[in-house]
Amino acid sequence: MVFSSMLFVFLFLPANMLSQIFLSSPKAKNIAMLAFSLVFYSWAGPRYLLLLLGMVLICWLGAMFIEDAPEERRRLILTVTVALCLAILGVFKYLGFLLRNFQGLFGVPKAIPNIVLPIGISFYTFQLVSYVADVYRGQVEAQRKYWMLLLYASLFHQCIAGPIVRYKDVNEDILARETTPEEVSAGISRFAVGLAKKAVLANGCAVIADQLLVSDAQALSAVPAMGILLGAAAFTLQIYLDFSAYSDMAIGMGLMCGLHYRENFNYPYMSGSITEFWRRWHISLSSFFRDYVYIPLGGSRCGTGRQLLNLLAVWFLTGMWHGASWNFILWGLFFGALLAVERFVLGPDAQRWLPQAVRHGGVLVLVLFSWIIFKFTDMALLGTALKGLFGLNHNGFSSAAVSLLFKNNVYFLVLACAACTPLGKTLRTMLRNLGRRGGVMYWLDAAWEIVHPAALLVLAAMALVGDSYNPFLYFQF
Amino acid sequence: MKDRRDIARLVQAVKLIAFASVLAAMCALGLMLFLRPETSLQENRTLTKFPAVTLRGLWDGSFFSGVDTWYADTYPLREEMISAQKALESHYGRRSTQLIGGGGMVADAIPDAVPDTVPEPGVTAEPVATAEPTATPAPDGTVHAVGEFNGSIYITQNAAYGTYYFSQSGADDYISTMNQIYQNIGGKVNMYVMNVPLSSAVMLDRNVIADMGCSVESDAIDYIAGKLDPGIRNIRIYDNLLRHNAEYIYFRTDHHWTQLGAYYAYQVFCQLKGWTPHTLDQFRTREFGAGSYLGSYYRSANQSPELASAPDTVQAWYPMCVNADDPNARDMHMVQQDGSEYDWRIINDMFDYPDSEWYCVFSAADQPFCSLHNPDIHDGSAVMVVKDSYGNAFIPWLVDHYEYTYWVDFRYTNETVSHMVETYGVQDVIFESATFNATGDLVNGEFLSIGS
Repeated sequence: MVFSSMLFVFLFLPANMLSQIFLSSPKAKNIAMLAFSLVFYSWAGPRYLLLLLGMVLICWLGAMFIEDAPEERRRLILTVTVALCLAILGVFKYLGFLLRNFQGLFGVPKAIPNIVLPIGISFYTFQLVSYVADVYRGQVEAQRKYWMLLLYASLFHQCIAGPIVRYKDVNEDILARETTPEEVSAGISRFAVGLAKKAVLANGCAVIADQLLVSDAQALSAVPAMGILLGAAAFTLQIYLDFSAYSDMAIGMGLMCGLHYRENFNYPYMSGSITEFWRRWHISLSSFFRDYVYIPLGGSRCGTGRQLLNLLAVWFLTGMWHGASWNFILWGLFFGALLAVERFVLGPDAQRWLPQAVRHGGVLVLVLFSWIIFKFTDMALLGTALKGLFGLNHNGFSSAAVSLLFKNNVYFLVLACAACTPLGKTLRTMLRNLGRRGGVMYWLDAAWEIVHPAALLVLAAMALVGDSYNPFLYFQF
Repeated sequence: MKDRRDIARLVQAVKLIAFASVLAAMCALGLMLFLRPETSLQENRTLTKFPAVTLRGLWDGSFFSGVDTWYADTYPLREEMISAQKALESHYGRRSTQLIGGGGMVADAIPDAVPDTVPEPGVTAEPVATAEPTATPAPDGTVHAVGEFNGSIYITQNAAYGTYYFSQSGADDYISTMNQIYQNIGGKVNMYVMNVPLSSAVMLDRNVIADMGCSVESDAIDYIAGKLDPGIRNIRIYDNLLRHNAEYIYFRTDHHWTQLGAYYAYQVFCQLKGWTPHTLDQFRTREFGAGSYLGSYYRSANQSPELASAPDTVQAWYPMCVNADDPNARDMHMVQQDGSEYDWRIINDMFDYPDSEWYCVFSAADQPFCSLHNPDIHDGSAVMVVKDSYGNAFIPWLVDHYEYTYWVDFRYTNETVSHMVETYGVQDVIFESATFNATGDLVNGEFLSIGS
């Protein structure tokens, strides 16, 4: 099940909200939340649920053993537990990829097993690994109740598409949830904004991107340079709006029932450097790699060569995390290289002497380019798209079809671009500040506050009802 | 300040109530199973059924994804909500001219063709008045139209045009099949081939077509004609249609031609046969679906508001040999795919069918086999039209020239042409197909099967 389905929004969510309103004790609420989460997760097939239950069992036992074990054995138990989790992730996510490459090089094995990637496995594996590591570090106590750890890992708000929530961030909320009218109100707004962002904006951008960045090699080679550029721009908008919408909805639903998730995005396309971009994009993932890979490897407190190696290792893994395909690895290393250039070649001074518009424009160009790499898992298609971007497919600069597609969607694209900036937030703050002075603006502010979630819900329903299947881009990661 | 705080709390409460009310209302609406539609008139399809419960479906999740799809697909007021969404989307940009579904289509280059050997008919068309819309809504009914159009749609000035993409392999398969059929039946009958162009080829500037990366359809028609066996007579209708492209010869919201367009094809056929074509004023005429007909392009173009603002009218001309006045008269016979047989009308009012089906007025639409006996002719003359849906508007013009007219839709018949020619003793066989069908991969399998 995904948040952007009619069934979720108009059946599952109301039922879940009712359970959280009418059940009084935190334990009853948690049991209900667990039941809803397991149903939510099982929606893609109960067979995946067994895997989730097993992974939670491993980490539940591992964390307790770590806590109870003498100091000299704790590290070994941590290693075994994490290795088991990563091995399961590796089998389900990377084995097919590795075997395909091995077969390509050596001709064996003859047959490659078709292993289906369980939904959300990358997210909940990382959550569980972070939990076990935090127990090892003494930052949290091991959870003695299996079902409570299962609730943490399976919480439907974030189980299948993030954000990657740390146990220490939600443990207290799970144990003793408190909701305030202000937070419920903020949660409603956040959820409605996220839903509309996904259903209207992200899906609208996808329609444009899919028309131009097609998966047929012959058709793709016929798309002129401006078509590839427009398609890449639409995909750039889509991937941010899609993914951040999911996080918005998760954060919003969390607020509605007393769970506080950290922000996962902070207007990344407003960044003035790639370093800043990664501080603003998928924050829960980049902070995971920082805290559990980069810093343990030595981080930046070592020589330049080692730092460079650490950086590339982290970005190789970041690419791998996004998918078992060479394009994702290339995408990760592309960012690793950019970050290395920023840190070791340009240095922090570059941030100062380059005009902001140039820095901002440069980041957008590089990020847009990176999303083309991200889009095509087929390397031949990726090559065709990149050639097309530079006009090397000999099909001209633009075409009537591209021009029409742009004109037909020009206002929509402007709106989608605006949605990637803090403009809406700024306007909302302005209205609120004007409202504080009283008069008409006060009532306008109040009216907006009342109307916008319901109106966005209706808008989203209109967009979703004709879209019977529209999974999030990050659904399978 | 206290008042302000109270008001702020009140605002929060009202906001919560408003949001919860919408959520609850939509939830309740979704639970009203009796309100759930089973078919979509706008999309011309049967909506998703509730999935069957199977152990396998439960285990692999396909049952649950089926429930998801069913829930959204049959949600009450779905069509109204989609219409509202489409109205909203019409403001996404400047949409007076649009290209819908333009991705993924690539045209093969059309090789130089041997010049068409068929002489250009010197036909002068009669001026025809197009019908003004008058609302005549039709009740619900079964969906019959075939979704045969498989390209992208260009919309300008409230009219849609299908874009044409030539497929070399598709065209060569078609030519090979036609030549094979000619080898089988050529010695027994006169064989004619007629390829009907899309409205874009006739109505749009060639530069517009070239800019969109589409093929020039008339070149494809010439290519086919140049490769056909010289014994096959080509009914080259393109130029006569082009000559009349200021008239209402194609629908704006549907991929078919009008019966007037088919009339200009009939003129060309008469020229080939050495006949004098009947003039339009010799026929009784009637309008159907006036101002309410929104055809296949409208559906394929996501219910474009630009098209909705200019609905079509179907004008039909009754053959002289049939009784146009008696609604109970039955002048033809049809056999449906399930083998059931009916007496029918060659121009049949479609009041029992949805507005989107008005093109089915003609020739009983797309059936495996139909026939009409002209009681005014007694010379044993017989023609067979092997056709797609474009042939439906063409057949009524023919029936006044033959004692027996047979027509089969090559997409639905299981018979071979050789067998049918022998069975019915026809003298003329006309193979009509839209060029996109002839040169596309979509229906060539059907051509091959009737030619075997």
